Amino acid sequence: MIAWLRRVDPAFYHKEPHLLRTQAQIARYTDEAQAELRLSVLAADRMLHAATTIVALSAYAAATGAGTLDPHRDWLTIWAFAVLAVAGPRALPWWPRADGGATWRHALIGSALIMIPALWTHVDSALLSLALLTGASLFVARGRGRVALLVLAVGVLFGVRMPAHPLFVAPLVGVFAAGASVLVVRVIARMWRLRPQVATWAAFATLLVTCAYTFAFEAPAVALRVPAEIAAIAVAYLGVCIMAGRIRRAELMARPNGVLSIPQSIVPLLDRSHHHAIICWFE
Amino acid sequence: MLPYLKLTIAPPISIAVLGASLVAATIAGVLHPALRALVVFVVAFPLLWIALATTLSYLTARALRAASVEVPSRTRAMGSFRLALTLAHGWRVFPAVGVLTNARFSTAGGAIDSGPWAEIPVVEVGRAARSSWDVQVKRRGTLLVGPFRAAVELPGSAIRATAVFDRTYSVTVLPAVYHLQPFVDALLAGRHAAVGRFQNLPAATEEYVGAREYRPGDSPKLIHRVLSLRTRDPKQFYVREFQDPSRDDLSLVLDTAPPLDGDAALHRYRLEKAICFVCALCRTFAARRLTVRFVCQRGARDVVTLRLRPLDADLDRLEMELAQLDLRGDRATLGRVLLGEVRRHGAAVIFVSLRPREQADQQRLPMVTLTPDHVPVFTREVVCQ
Repeated sequence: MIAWLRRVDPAFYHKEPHLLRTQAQIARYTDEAQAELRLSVLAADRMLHAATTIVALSAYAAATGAGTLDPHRDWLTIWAFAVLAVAGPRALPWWPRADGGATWRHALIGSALIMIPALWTHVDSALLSLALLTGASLFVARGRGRVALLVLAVGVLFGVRMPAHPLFVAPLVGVFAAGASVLVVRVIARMWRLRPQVATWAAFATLLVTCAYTFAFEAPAVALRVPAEIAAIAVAYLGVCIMAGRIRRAELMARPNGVLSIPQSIVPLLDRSHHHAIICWFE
Repeated sequence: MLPYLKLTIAPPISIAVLGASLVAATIAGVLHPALRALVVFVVAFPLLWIALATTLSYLTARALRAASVEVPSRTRAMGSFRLALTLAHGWRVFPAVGVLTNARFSTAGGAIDSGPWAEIPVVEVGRAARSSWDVQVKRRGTLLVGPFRAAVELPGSAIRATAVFDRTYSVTVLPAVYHLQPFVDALLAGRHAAVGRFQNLPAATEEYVGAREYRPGDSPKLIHRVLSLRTRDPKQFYVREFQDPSRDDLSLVLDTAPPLDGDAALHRYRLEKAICFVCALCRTFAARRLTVRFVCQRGARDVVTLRLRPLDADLDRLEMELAQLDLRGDRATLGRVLLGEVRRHGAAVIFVSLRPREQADQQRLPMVTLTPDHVPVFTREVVCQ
């Protein structure tokens, strides 16, 4: 009988394992899978990348007093902010994978960041040296070296404000900053899966901390150009709003449109395990 | 349909971080009077943005109404149906942007799962928008759909405002449809001898309906001599078949008593297969214009009997009954039911059993017993509708 069935309906015997596998268990769309999909949408969003860049550059302009910081006295601060403005956005999860010429571009952007605000104030050898230093450090830092560079920049920012030599304090502060960064990134990564808008609040908080740093340590320089500062911060805030809209758009786009699977153990598919079955009847 | 609102606040740690940043910026800036305008702008912008987004999220979610829900009253196991929710926006000031909707699914026993979120990009002011899902149901019985939820969270909002439409819709999930092997039709040629005839000779009221191949046990008096002589093989015989059009043709008894041996999951699996098989068998009988008396035990002292004429309405009644059937029978009642059906004059009895072997008392009864081993051989594949 079984041989006859196999002969008359061979297709089913090949199809049944497929039916059992696909119809009995349909994988649910998990939060992790949804976060990955959202991330891929964000990675392909050029407007988001542009907005992130604008936020970073505007924040740099606001933090350095729109070019009023003295490159002779505050060269470490300028270097640190330039490094953070260029390498920071590239460390974000939605930034696309760097290609071969990315390090050159980063170095040029870093150098230009320092040079352009000073074009109408003062251009001297110290400024050129600082631009070259920034470009070189951004060029050298690749892969995990970029993370180390970011940590070092944060360490320098707080190290120069301490009553000790920055070269000694910066590594110590950098280690603390790295620990805090790991903690924050973990918290954000965990919340990101469920509440993607937490990135918006994180961006607002970053800008506010940058402003607080500038108000606390560079108030005299910033006071010279308050309208320019307001304009730079307004551009940065608008960039954050655009980022928030793009993240929400990705959240809507990255919704699963699959079929709902109701978990259960009973699926009335055919069971061909009883191959010895015999048709019998009674008189 | 008016919803009630459920508010989900932003993660506390993000509120704390943003609050600390605001305080730090305020304290750092307030010490310098020259920076007062700058500090006000720096602190006020995020606060105003968050407040505006939060207010709009709340008000638009509150203004959402469920205009209509498209859900079928019945579907078939292993099949799929389209579920749709139409939302209307009653607030005439601001559109609802980025609305996420989903539905909850449950059975009478409890919640099963929440459906995937489906998005509506924009619900215009005073307009309606629709989101839909394809739902595949595997489990026979009653499926409860609802409540529906619509969540609004504008970028930067401190809350996610979810409008919950607290109404549940019931969907009866009928058994899956099996295709029977073509040879089942051959076995059912005529009615009695093929499926458990216990009368050796036709009664006076019966009339000739056809002929079929001889099987061991058939009465030699029924051999169709003319037809048998025409065959080339001298050992091949044909017998005549008779039918009484005035009575039920068949009694079909379904076993719902859980067997004593084996695990519960295996029993449930066998019951599902048996139910689908009975459903397919009754459709085959109806196609052959036979009237079937279907008997099964629904619960303690609750035996249901359906007379199924070859009508769609009767088959629908059967499927509705089968959709709610469970393993609630007992052996004593089943034995009494089988004895009663066998004693009914004229009708052949088919017993669809959940046990791999017949009991001793059932072996003595003149009926056909189909064990779980028979069902895979008789059936071909599941048909999704």
